[in-house]
Amino acid sequence: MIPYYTGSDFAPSDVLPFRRGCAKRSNATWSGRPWLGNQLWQTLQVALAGIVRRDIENKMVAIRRLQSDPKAVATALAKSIVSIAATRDEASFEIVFRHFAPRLKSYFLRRGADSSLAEEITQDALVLVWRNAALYNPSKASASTWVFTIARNLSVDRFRRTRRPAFDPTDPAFVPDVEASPDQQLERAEADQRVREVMSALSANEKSVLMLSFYENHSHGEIARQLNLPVGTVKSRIRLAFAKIRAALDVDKGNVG
Amino acid sequence: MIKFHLSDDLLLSYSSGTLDEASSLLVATHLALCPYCRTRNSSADSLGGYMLDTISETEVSPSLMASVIARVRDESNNAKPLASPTLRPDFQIPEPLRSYVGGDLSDLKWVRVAPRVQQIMIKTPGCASQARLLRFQSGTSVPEHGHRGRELTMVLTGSLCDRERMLCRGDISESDEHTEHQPYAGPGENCVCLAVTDAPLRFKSVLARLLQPLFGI
Repeated sequence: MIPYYTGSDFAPSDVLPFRRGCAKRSNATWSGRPWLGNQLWQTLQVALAGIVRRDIENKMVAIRRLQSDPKAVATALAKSIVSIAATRDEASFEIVFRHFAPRLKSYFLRRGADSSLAEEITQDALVLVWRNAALYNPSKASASTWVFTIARNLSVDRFRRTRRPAFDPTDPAFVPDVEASPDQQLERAEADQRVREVMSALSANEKSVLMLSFYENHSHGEIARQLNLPVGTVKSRIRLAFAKIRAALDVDKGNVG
Repeated sequence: MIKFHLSDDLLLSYSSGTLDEASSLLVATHLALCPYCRTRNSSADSLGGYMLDTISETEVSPSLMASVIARVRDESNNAKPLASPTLRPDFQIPEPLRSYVGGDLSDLKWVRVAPRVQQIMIKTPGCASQARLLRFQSGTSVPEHGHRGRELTMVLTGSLCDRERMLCRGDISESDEHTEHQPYAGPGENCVCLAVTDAPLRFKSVLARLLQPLFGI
């Protein structure tokens, strides 16, 4: 595991407010190692500090890019989840945590939780992100989509108190995908990103119907009442948005429908 | 080859977690059979990811990170990657439906509801919609009826002719308040289908209406 450096002027506490308890080693109390020459020990220490510093700096660059460039955000988050699975690296988890914890809390609040329940379920969701990190496949979905499915399943479980039936890819009766060629797989990896681009391009009206479906515990009938629209209009907006998404995903494959 | 797929709004409700359990059961069972709809389902999940990225942020308590780490730090990595499919004889009922009805087609205990029509009610406690398996002998027709709500039907074996369409394994038919139809089982194999209704049907014939409460249709 990579030691996580927290104790210097350059550790940006505004970006990383969650300090773990690794106390800064004070030079005044350090007594040296008799079996190592003082010089050698100090050189080692400087080298180690350099490695830790470079690691943090790289991660901070990724975080700073998060704010301005959604693609860089997505890449940094996906890499972080992969690295949680590979090395149980708490610094990577902190990057994931900083991005998702405040958003997950908003999501659970909108699904009907009060503040303390929202925080409790946010904690559960992030524990699942850590535990299931090995199941995350960055070629299939973005980090946000994957974390969303965890949050969605938790909210069905906790708010609706029912099960959410899901298909089982290991079931003998499951009909598998047609073997995808390498460039189709690439297409799949990018599909997620394209859906977001389509979403960004939708009008506020079109977007509101889709987003309300995710935010609230509401059926499309209730969304229609809330927006003061006929149910038919809600459904046709959903169809329109999905048609645009399909069109965007099909462009490069050269097939329609 | 599946020809009639899940509607966009059904997929969206399933993906967002707002669809009731009985209807979700039908959606998930269709997804098990239909790679095309699984791709569409992934797109709907991507919308959820977009939502999570663009939602406003709410401050969390400063100790939350430490609480999460405290719960996971000493665990070993216990999440296992998905096992590869076991080589076993093909089931006719895919998961998750098979677990809900307690076995494959040959294990089921059917209850007769009308001549040549049998059913099995599927329990989804606390759910406003009712899921059931129906079995029609070939050529049998359901009395003509309308709907007070939504009716979802998915064919599992045989075929069902509904409004000029021939539905086969995996095909979906969606009906609502405005639909009146008289589906009938196609020739050959018995037709088994999964049906989910969120309100009782409205039969046209008096006899069917009289018998309705008896069978809970």
